[in-house]
Order: sequence, then C-alpha cells, then structure tokens
Amino acid sequence: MTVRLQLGALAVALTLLSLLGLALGPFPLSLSAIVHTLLQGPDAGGGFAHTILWEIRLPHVLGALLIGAALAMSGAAYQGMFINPLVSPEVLGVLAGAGFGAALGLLWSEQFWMVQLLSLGFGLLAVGMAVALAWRVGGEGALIVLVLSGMITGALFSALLSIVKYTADPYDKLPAIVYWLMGSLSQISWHNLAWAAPLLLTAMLLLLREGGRLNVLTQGDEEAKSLGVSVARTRLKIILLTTLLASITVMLAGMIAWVGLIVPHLARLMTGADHRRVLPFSALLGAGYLLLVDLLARSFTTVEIPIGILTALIGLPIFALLLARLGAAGWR
Amino acid sequence: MALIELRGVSGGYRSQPVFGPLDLIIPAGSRLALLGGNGSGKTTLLKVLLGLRAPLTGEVRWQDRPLASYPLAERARFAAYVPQQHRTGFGFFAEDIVAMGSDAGLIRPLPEERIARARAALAELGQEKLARRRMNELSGGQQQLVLLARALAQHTPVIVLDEPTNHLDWGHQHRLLALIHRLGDQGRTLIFSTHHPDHARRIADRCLLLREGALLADAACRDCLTDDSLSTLYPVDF
Repeated sequence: MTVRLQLGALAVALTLLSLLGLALGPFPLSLSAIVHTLLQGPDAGGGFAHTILWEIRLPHVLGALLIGAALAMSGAAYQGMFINPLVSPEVLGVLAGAGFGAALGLLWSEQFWMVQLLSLGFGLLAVGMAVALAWRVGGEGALIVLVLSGMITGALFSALLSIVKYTADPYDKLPAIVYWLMGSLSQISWHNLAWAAPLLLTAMLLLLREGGRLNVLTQGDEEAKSLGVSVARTRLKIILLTTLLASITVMLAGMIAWVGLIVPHLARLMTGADHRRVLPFSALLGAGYLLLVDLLARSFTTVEIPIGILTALIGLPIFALLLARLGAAGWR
Repeated sequence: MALIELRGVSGGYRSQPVFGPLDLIIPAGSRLALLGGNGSGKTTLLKVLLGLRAPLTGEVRWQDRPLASYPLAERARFAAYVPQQHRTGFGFFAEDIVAMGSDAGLIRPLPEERIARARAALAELGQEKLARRRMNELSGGQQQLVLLARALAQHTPVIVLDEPTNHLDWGHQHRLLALIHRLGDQGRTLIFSTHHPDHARRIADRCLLLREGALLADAACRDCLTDDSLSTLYPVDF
C-alpha cells in the first residue's frame, strides 16, 4: 500500500471513530441527530441532544484526538532522538514533574486553573533541570548523560509527589490526587481546548518538520554533525516541543501512559523507519488509539474508568503481541 | 592554496592531549594517508580537521578561513566523513542512509532526486543490490560500503575516511582502493587513515606517520614508508 493510501485509510478510520465517539454514551445519538445538531452550530441552544453533543462529547472527542496524537508523536520523536525504542515522553521526567505540580495544586487550592498551571510549570521545570544537569556534566547533551539526568529529576519529583500524597488529607485531597494521576478525559472543556488546542497543534506542526533531522540523528552525534545537522540545537528543539506537548496533555487529562511508547512501534510497523513518515503516522494512530480506548471506557461500564488504567490494560497485550510477532530483530 | 591547514593544533579528550601540537598544510587534490599504531591519535586528528571535535589548542582553517566560522551545512558540502565504527538504530534501508548524504547541507532536501542520487552512489560501488536491505542486517563490510556510498552521495570536494578497508574482504579492499584512486584522479582531496602501508603506497601521494600523537614523518610515501620508519612506527623487527 502506498503512503497516501495508508494515510487516507487512517483518516477514514479516524472519522468513523470520531462519529462513534459522538454517538455512543449513556444517551446514544443517531447519526442523523449528530449531523443535524452539528449543522445547527454551537449557539442554537435548546434540546438535550444539543447540550450533550456540543458541551460534552465534542470537546471530549477533540481532546482525546489531540492528546493521543500529541503523546504518540512525542514518543516517536523521543525514541528517534534517543535511538532507543524503549523510551517514551516521560524519560526526562516530564510526567513526574507535571504529576507533582498537579498534586501540589490539588493540595493547595480548589481552582482547576491553578492545578493546570502548576502541572505545566513543574513538567517544564523537571525537564529543564534534567537538561541543565546534562549540559553541565558536558558532552553537549550526550544521550546517556541525558537519560541519567532524566532519571535523577524523575526520581526527585516522584519522591516529592509521595510527600504531597503523604501529607494530603486522606478523606478529601488524597483521593482527588490519586484519581487525577490515573488520567481522565472528563475535565476537558471548550474553555481548556480554546488555548490548549492551538498550542498542541503548533507544537506538533513544528515537530513534524524535524523528521529529516531526526533520521540523521539516529546515525550518532559525530556523523550527524558531518551530515550538516546541529545535534545540540536539534535535540534542544525536540526536547522543548515534546515537553510542551507532554505537559499540556498531563494538564488536560492527567497521566496517560503507554500511548507514547506503543503507538510509534505500530507506526513503524506500517511505514518503516523514516521519521518523516513515522511522526505523522504516530499522530494519527495515537489519536485513534486514545479515542478507541476512551470509547471502551465509556461504553462497557456505567462509571467512566480512568483512561490511564485502560491505555495500560489494552496497550500491554498489544505490546506483548508486537514483541511476539517481531521478535528481537524488529527492535534493533 | 592550502585547502585545509592546521596551525599548532592539538586534540584529545577533556584536556588530555592525544596528538599534537602539529602544523599541517593539505593542498587541493592531495591523496593523504595517515599511519600509526593503535591509539596514536589518527581518528582524533581526522575528527579535529573535520571540525567534529574542537581542537585543544591551535586553529584549523579551510580555504584560508577558520573552520569555526563555517556553518555546519557549509561544512557538509565541503567534506564527507566515512567513520570507522557505525551504529544505526531502527530498520533504515541502506538507500535511506545513503540519501542522508544526498540531503546533507541542503536547506531544502531533494524530494525526488535524493533516492536517485543514493542509488547512483551505491551503483558506483557496485552495491545496487544493497539498496533495499536494512542497514542493521548487513555485515560490517557491507555497512562500510553503504557509508562510503553516503559520502559519495554528499558530492563534496573532500572525503575523509577512517580505516576504510577495515571490515572489507580482499576483493572489496581492492575495489575500494581503485575507487579512491579514481576519486583522486577526478580532483577530489582524499584523506584516509590505514593500518596497511601497502594501501598507502598504492593510492596515496603523501604519508603522515603518527607515533604517540607526534608527527614522525610527513613526506611522499616512497620516501617515508621505509623499513626503518615502519619499525619505529610499529615496534617490530624486519
């Protein structure tokens, strides 16, 4: 299958999944009702279907698409940059930092914007600290030093998060923190998306442009340099964009694991190693994967299971299947 | 005019000098061989003159301009590098790797032409059959040929090769030396390190002998590759 056909097929599948996402739920909507209500526009007001679709499901579906795409693309970029198929966006401590920030926000305040702001701030801070440490140690961000620095900051913020949990009120604050960390799409609203969507889309577009340079980075630092690519600058750019993407997703929906690790492998299975294709394929597959998981979370139970649990529960068997099918050769 | 010039250059790791300080002038069209025992500083010297490592002291100049003033893209259009060791991640096809040479140093990559240029470079080495093979499934020698094709696809006036015949079988060594000779005849400047004095004699017009980081000799191959100098370079009795 040519690349265009594959992309077309993915786009069709995404559209169908999105329609399902709009239709299914405790109050199912028919296709005609969805089309009719969407055509009415957001301000038509009135009916029950209108409220469900415009106020709840549409932002929910859009959020799932954007977050899935952002996480998967960040994972693909990180795996390319670290020349390691086992890394995901949290390797530099972004999720640990963002999780700690959010927990701190939940402990101190009831305001959701405060939680989000602290989550974003500490996500960026954790990665900033890891990068600064790696640069200080030397080697212009040599990969192994970067990974070790990420482990240090990640461990630091995990410990700090434990302190916050330990001191939190066990009847009120602690459950809020624990649920939030499990990841959920239920807090997504137009209000959030209004500023998050443009940021996510811009960062993803900028990251897409790095595909060719990511390819060259997989040749090792000195060869990349001899091929005209500034290793340090490219790496910083990718870290910055990826951290921004990952922290925004944590802010919107808490910790959603496994998407960034597994989806890039599916993308590579479809389209090969070239990052100029792996990045867009990962984005589309990630969007579809999270939407699918979200649909399952909403369809099979009366309460919505935190999506972070399901991405892992569904992602792990897929990962195991991939491993069985590809064997060691596929991961080299 | 000196194409590449080293003025009082020493190089190494974390202020631990591996070679130098030395002065060197490489005119355009040179075929320069670099010989020395293991750990004598050959690879470090090649990396420093390519700008892949900063010198500890002194200055490297290309075409009478400090190398430091060249942007990386411009460097990639001036000199190509065939490393001694290579590691690649993910299942890139050999032609993808070679096409990285086609794109090197270009602001806009060549969307159509890049693969054609990559295949032409592989064909020049008689290795068209490797194009759709995955790099991480090739033997060491085949990988070496792919890296050489990548350097050819880069279309640079200077090619630097670090022990290029290392993993090659006898036949490929022979073909590679012939190719290097041909590239030299086309006017390219070639700088390569080798452990084989015979290879240097066959294709180089000038030899540098490096011993524990110091320049033992810098002369025409027939003058400096003598039994005496070789027994000093590699402590063996002839």
